[in-house]
Amino acid sequence: MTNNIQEQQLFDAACSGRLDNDSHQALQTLLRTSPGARQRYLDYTALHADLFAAVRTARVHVRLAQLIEESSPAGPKHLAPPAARAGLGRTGLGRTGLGSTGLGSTLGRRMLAFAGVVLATAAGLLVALGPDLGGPATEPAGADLVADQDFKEPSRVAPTEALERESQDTLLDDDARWLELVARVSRVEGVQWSDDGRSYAVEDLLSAGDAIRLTDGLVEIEFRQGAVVVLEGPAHLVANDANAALLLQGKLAAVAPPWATGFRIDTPGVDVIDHGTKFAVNVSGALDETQVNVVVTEGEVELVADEQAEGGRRLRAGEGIQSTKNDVQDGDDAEARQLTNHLPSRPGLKNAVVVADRWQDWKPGVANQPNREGNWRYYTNGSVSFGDTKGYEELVWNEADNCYLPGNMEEKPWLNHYVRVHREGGHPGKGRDQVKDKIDRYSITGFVVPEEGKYRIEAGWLERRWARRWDRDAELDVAIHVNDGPILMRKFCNRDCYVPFRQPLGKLAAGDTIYVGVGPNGADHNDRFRWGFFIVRETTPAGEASIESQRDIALSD
Amino acid sequence: MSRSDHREQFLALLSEHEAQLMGFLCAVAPNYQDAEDLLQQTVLTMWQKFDQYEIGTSFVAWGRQIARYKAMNLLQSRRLTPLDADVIDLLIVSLDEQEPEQRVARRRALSGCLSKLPADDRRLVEVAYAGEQSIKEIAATIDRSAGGVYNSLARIRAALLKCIQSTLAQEGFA
Repeated sequence: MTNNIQEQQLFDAACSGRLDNDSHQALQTLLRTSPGARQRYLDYTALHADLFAAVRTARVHVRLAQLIEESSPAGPKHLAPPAARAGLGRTGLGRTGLGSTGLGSTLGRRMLAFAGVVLATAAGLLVALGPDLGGPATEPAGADLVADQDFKEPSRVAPTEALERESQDTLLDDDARWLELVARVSRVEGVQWSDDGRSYAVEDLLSAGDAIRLTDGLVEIEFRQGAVVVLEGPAHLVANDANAALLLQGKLAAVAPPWATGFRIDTPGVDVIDHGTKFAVNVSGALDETQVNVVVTEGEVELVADEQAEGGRRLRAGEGIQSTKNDVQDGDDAEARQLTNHLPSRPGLKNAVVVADRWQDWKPGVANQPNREGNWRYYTNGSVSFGDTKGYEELVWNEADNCYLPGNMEEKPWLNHYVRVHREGGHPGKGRDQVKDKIDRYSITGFVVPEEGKYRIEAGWLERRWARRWDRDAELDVAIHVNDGPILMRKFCNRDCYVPFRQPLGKLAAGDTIYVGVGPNGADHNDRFRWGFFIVRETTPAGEASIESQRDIALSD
Repeated sequence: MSRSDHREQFLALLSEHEAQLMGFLCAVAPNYQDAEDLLQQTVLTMWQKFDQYEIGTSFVAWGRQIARYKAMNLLQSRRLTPLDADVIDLLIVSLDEQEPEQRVARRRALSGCLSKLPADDRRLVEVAYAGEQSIKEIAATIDRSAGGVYNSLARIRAALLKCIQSTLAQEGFA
């Protein structure tokens, strides 16, 4: 058992995903120096895992028992995130969804049988949580459960304050329900969808863990961080995250712009990591005789075996490999190479350098001071409309909340009260429908341009918390302007909860400021957002011609 | 060995050691959903490479090496800071020092300890660990603050650990 409060707090924070940088270091120091703490940490995390397993298994068991008894498909009702135009991969067996992807292979079916084994082995734990399901729990003699009182239990919030508190807590709650949308279907051509999977339309969104299975045709998928993949059926792909996918079967070609360097394709054999390139992968063969071919048409990739963390073989343009379980040989794959002709040939995908990354560049500030390190600045629009920089007010760093917020809370206690800029995103202030002056208060991120050039915003994305039913028509808006110029872009994020954005900014001079703001669009209910974007500077002179790819020709028909 | 026997052997080893693999992944991945995803990716790779596994050697140790790299790659791709490699190595050594029977005994003990929880605490565990609602949403439902719910879950976990330890002591485990 944990033998001091600080240790337990660290373990608890780790299990809750609430470790900050200092706590993370403290935990590591503890684990390095104390063998006893390591064992206690493992016991603690094992308990955490066992509780998840017990509860989820119990729920599946209840559902199965109901189905058997009632011979009805009805199951327990619960609020689910919006399914329209967003792929959801959560199942009782985990987000990558052995159930939802229905692997369809022999192993997939066996894994479902394995789930039955897990159910059986967890039977003892079911009893404790579902007393109407099983026999009496064991009663070890003398094993009393200590029923301590909670420490630091805050006073209960009166119902009339619940709404206001909800807005505040929303700012601090790292457990907000995010859809974790990682990719978007951008083209569907002659596709026959697999019977084991779902069908997709253009603009459909994929969450982490969603699978695409097709028996014929072409699907183009744009990942959130900017990589574009063309998948040719028959194929089976799982979108792992904003910059990675798992190809279980079939052929794909990929192009990754500079802001998606590190884009990764995992396969049952080697994994392919992009280093600024265009490449193709072909996975074929039976499950235990898989062959993975990789060809590179532009740039360079790194091949990493499953046991390697880094330092894999590099393949350059014109090179290729054919790998099996036991062997890797140089070789080409003409069909896979041909597939790269179906990738978009947008010159902007490669002729640019990344100048700033909203996510990676984040740094905490100096207490009660606006940010003066680097080129990022944080504002709200005070009492002026978004776009009128003369009225912008800089936000200051708040150590307790680990974010930038208004520094004049006493003067304007509530108009900008909830404006936040934090690492993952932020929150706008009150909306025009809520205030007398009819002005939307924005959470604004500014970037001071370091040198002259043509700039763009790429791979922009904004995700809103899963909207509750009562405010499902409320929207956020994300807008961009440069200096005191006009609004260049405005997009709205509605109850679908995700919007991608990109925007050319034109030729800018050193010292110009790019402003990207998120506003409440009328009312600030449930407006906490996460986002990211890259600022890139073009490296190719204007007017340079590009060769049309087959993809471009097809889309122009 | 026939193909069918090959699969049965793999599944038998997996069912025996799945909990240990999951425990390792929960120790290195800060989010349970990530740990579940990593488990499935790891198991898939282990199956792919099962011919390379030497019967009689530690199935768990072999699986952990695969799981370890998958966890590092996933966390780094999500810009999360994983535990340092040397810390993970120390955890692996500590895991190897645990007796497999003790792991089983702990899960068995948990069953009894859960039944001893007050009804409210048991319900909170069920809702929190179902993974269908955030802590914030649970707190709103029961008219408490999120901090209070976190505190309660910490208290419950501490109580369960104490109960499990007491149970194991009576059963003769150290």
